[in-house]
Amino acid sequence: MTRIEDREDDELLFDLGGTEHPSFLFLDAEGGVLGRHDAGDTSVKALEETGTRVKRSLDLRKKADAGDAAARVDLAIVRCELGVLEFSDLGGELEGAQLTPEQERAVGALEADATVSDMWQVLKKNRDEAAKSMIAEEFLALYAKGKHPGRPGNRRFYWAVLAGQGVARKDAALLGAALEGLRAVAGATPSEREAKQLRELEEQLKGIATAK
Amino acid sequence: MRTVLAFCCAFAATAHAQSLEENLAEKLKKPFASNASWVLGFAEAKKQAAEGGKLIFAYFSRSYAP
Repeated sequence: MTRIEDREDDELLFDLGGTEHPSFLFLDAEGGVLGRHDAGDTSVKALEETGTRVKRSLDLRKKADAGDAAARVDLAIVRCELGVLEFSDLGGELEGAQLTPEQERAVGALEADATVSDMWQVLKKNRDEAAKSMIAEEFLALYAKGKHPGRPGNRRFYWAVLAGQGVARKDAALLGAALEGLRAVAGATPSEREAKQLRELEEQLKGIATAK
Repeated sequence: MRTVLAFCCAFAATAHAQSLEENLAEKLKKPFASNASWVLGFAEAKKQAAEGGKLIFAYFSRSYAP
């Protein structure tokens, strides 16, 4: 990728491990990455939530460095949520730790996010029916385990695929859950496209429910 | 949380350098950029963060990206 020649910091995003535009990063004063904001939701609320999570990670770091074992677990989870610790490395960080139910849920969401991110890559390379079917099976398996992604872009993809599966399988429970998931992603002010999608799915859910 | 806002903008290669500069200037006029005090250099952002005990919020954009 080329940018304006001779401008400083042209490679900065890549040096910091970023690949996409837009990218939003929280850095310390030395330029170390503390957190990556998911560009799937650029609302002020979502940006503030990432900022709050970064602040929490700094507080947890102090506690963990002081020997607080519970803080060490929470720190690893938060760093993974902030995209500065790979999910594949999280297991090592949590080795030997007894997770609380809340921590288990958070790790489950991170597992789901890792899977959904992998499926994005699958979809980028191949959009044929075999790929779509594999993605649907992966998401249905996550759904069955109650592990749902937390990142906005992933949530939208995940619930949209499951909504499609709910319609195809005439599964009112699955479609209802997917509708709720998509409503949560759209928030209080859905875009025109989102509102249209939600209306259509609501109609399909009514049709499935009526047929039973 | 106190932060320094660092704005990093990249533009596609095919256009002439002058128009790239113009694109950047146009982008910096948009409300999201002009309504806050963004620092355009990383070294300056780090300097301000160190002096003020702040973190850096870095935004990377391109001509096609929001």
